[in-house]
Amino acid sequence: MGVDRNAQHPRNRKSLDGKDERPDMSRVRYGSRAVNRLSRRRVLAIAATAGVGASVAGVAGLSLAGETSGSADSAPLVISLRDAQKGTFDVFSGESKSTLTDKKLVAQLLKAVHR
Amino acid sequence: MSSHREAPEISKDPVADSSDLYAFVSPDNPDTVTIIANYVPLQLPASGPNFFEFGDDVLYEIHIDSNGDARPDLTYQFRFRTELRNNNTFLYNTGQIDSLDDPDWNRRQFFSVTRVDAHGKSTVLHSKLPCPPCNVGRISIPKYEKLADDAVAKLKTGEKVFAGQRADAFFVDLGAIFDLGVLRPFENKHLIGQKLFNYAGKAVNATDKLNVHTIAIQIPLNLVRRGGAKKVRERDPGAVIGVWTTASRRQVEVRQGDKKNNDVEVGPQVQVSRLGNPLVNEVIIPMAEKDLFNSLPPSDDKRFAKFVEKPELAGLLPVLYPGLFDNLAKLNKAGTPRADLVAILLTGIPDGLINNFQNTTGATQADMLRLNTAIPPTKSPQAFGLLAGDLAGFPNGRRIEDDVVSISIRAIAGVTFALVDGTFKPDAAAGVVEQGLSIKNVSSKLLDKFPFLGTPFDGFDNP
Repeated sequence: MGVDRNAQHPRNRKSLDGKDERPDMSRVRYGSRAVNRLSRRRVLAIAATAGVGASVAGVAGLSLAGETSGSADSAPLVISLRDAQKGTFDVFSGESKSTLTDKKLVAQLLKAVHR
Repeated sequence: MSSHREAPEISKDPVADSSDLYAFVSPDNPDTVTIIANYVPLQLPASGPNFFEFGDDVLYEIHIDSNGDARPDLTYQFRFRTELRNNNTFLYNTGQIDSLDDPDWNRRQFFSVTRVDAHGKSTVLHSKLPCPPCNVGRISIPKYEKLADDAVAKLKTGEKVFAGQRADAFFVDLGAIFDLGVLRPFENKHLIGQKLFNYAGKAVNATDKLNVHTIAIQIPLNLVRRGGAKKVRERDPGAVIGVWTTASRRQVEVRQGDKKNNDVEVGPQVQVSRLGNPLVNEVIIPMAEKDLFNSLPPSDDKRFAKFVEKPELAGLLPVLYPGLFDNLAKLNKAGTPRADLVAILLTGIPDGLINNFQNTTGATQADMLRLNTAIPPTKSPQAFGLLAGDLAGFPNGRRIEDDVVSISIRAIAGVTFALVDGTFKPDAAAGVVEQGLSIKNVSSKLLDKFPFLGTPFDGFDNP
């Protein structure tokens, strides 16, 4: 689940605890070229971190596996809008990315940022 | 350069920029292979107070393919973490650094090593190993060689590892080559150079007296070979491995811009740098596709094969050096795909083209550094490697002293096309053209043992 940045300096990554990132990497690298082609600089449409992320989950009752209980609620969550009309967006959390569709949530998010 | 700043995007991200990859059967332990991946290129030795280091937010990997599908059968992952001892000083060190745990060394970096098998199962081989410091200067670090030697670690699983600063041993006359393809020893033969020079020039090693950050690993051969074989014959397909290195970053990064909230890095790892054979992304791949090349795995390289089959540089040589590459010009005009270069760079050289040699990985076209691990190291390595009959040299793997720039220029100029077409006669110039440099033009002497790269240039003596 998510990488908690709140308890540590941003450069003191959890990576040294030996956490395996390979399953995610394999999927992204070899299973989906489109992900690879995404520029790091282009990806952010809406960034919801810490508090904002929690309120987003509350607004739509968004329930991602393993992200709804305990301290995980405070883990960073970033949402990137893909298609406003279709209501499709990517959710980045921990070492994973999920593509979801929720027109109502997207409409609420856009309203919240005055778009 | 081999792969220093070879693509537009990665040239702006030096911490993740792979500059050179070497793979060779270890001369200090021929039952092992040594793989060296250099990152953070072009370091000026005098760079205090913030000396160079690996990226704590970068995942560095060395991949090994042992069955020819251009997908990793074995991967070593390296993750770094920086620790500060003293928050109240601007100094890298507040006194002399005499050991890897010296209290006067303020900003230290550590790394973990994780091994991932073909099924994606990962094993942490060590969770915290120290990097040596940067070579600040002989006042701060009077015995640098000892510190670096202390940072070589032998893992319980049989591998030897090192991560830290080293002298860049790559040699290239960068200033001339990218000044419209001038090779100084032939500058008076160059299309424009012949109007400026009436004599041959002397090459300059542009990367001398600069440092890199090295990840080096020495692995028992049975761990990298197909089926775990301890002994194989040279003609056995299982003798050949393909090697490449990658650097990746998290897909999303949010900078908070204040100290109240930490920056956020989430999402899957996204590959931002890749290196197999030297010079492929540098001079084979067009600029518009270099960033894409860096983001893809070798198993996708078929899409780039057209650039290997008809390399731009082969078309330029007859123009830049009028009258010297007429046979190459005819070959270019005929439009014959360069099967020799495809073999060297994308599939390996099949059995039967060179006596007692093969390093093919099969039909899958992929940019990997291919090494026949059954060929023992040579006592007197030839800088021109396979072209000089030295079967242990590039493009059979790559040793530090191999002149990969000259070998590549000669190959592109046509000397290797005769291997696949006996009717082709290479131009005389193709057999003698070279950049005019060797490992002797690297001022830091190579070590005769792992990690082989020389002591980094220090800031005091190389201001």
